[in-house]
Amino acid sequence: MKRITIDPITRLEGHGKITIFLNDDGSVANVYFQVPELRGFEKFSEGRPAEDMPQITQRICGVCPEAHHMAATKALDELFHVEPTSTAKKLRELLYSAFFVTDHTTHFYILAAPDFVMGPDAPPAERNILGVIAKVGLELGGAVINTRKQNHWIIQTVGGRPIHPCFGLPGGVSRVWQGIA
Amino acid sequence: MAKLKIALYWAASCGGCEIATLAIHEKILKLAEVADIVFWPVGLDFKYADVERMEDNSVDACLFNGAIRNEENEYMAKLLRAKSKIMIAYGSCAYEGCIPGLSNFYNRQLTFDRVYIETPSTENPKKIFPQTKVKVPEGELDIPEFYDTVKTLAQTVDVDYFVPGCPPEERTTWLALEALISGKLPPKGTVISHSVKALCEECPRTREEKKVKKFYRPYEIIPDPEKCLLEQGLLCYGIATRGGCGALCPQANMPCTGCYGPVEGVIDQGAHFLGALSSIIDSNDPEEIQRIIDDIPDPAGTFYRYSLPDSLLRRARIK
Repeated sequence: MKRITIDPITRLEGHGKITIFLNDDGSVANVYFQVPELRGFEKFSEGRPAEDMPQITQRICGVCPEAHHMAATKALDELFHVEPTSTAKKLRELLYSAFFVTDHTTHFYILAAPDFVMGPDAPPAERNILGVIAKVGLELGGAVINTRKQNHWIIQTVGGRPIHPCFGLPGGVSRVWQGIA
Repeated sequence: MAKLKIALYWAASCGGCEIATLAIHEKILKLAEVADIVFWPVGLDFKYADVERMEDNSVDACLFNGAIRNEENEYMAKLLRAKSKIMIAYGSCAYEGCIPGLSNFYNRQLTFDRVYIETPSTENPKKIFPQTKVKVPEGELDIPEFYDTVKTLAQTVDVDYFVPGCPPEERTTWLALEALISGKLPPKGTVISHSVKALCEECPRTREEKKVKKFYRPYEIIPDPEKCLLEQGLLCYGIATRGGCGALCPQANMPCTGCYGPVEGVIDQGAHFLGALSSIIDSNDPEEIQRIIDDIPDPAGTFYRYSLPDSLLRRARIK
């Protein structure tokens, strides 16, 4: 049986492989999607201090670390039976909102848009973020880059670091809001 | 001048290094002027077969992130090494194993048991584990072999440069890219960062005398915002960690966890930290010292948070 292998799957976070089996007439007999990666967070998180989980589990995905950081931080709230203060909740929400913006630019402009802006038949050398910037122009491309920069700045200012923030603690966050210098 | 050809790859990693590469922001346009990216799974649609077809040494530099966890990671490390004139271990996973390297406290079977049998969300009554080859009605499928031990990139192939950080900060990434673009490359083996010294050198917190009677966990105290965190009893790793990030975590009132790796000349970051700790414990009474040390939960996992595979220990012995 003829097979087509797509390895790796591209423009997404993570590792994947697709195998398509074709019948003699060229129609699809079956398709298999495989995820060939495993790191084992389920095991190696055991024995680590609970309060380190926001910083450990966010290494599951560095494209959306804020989501994992926040989930683990909320789990700590539950574990310690503490309700975050209103200020802490707002700071967490501010960070998460900034993440929401950068993550959408990641998803749209880098991962998905090349298929729509450049078209699915464009050569791989053009069907990507740099091809998108070349096509939509530097003004729009620059605006996207600037949006990412501003929101990374917010994530760092609130959460300590622009990627893999460090501010989540049971019942709140690690830093006092001192306004924007 | 011909444009540089750059390849980027992720092995056992989280994708944070890809976002870190993008986090050079407007400098991306500068990079695009002087370099073509010939392989980058998160951003470009080139496949493994495209890399296999490249001439050896036809890529000027490969920024390789991620640890070597399975057969595919190893294959890609060797393939990209052959295709690239310069191999750069970009980020803590490729450099020293990082968080995925904590897996070296266990082995493949213990990991598989937990992941595929024991986790509460798993239902696997037939106890099926991943197989490298499986027969399906249409033919055979394969997946890469999952190794017992996580390795670093340099334990797998020859590496020219190391870029520290989980992930590398913007300024660190640009320092490495600038060296590539300008052709002014440092000596082989250099860890590319703005500092060769400990993070404390660039930390704005004030240091006085390091005498610790009790260690605290980050949720137990509200630290003084101006004073050294280690002096306040928090296990801040800055004393044994290479600087260059700008001391971001301590400025957010959180201890450094050591992601920039050991300072220049140190082989084992965990042992270095242990040595530093032993000199600051403020007691000569063995029983009191024991009590103070007992306050440190999970010392091995904390001291080797990012560097277990690259340490002298490399892994735990499983009986």
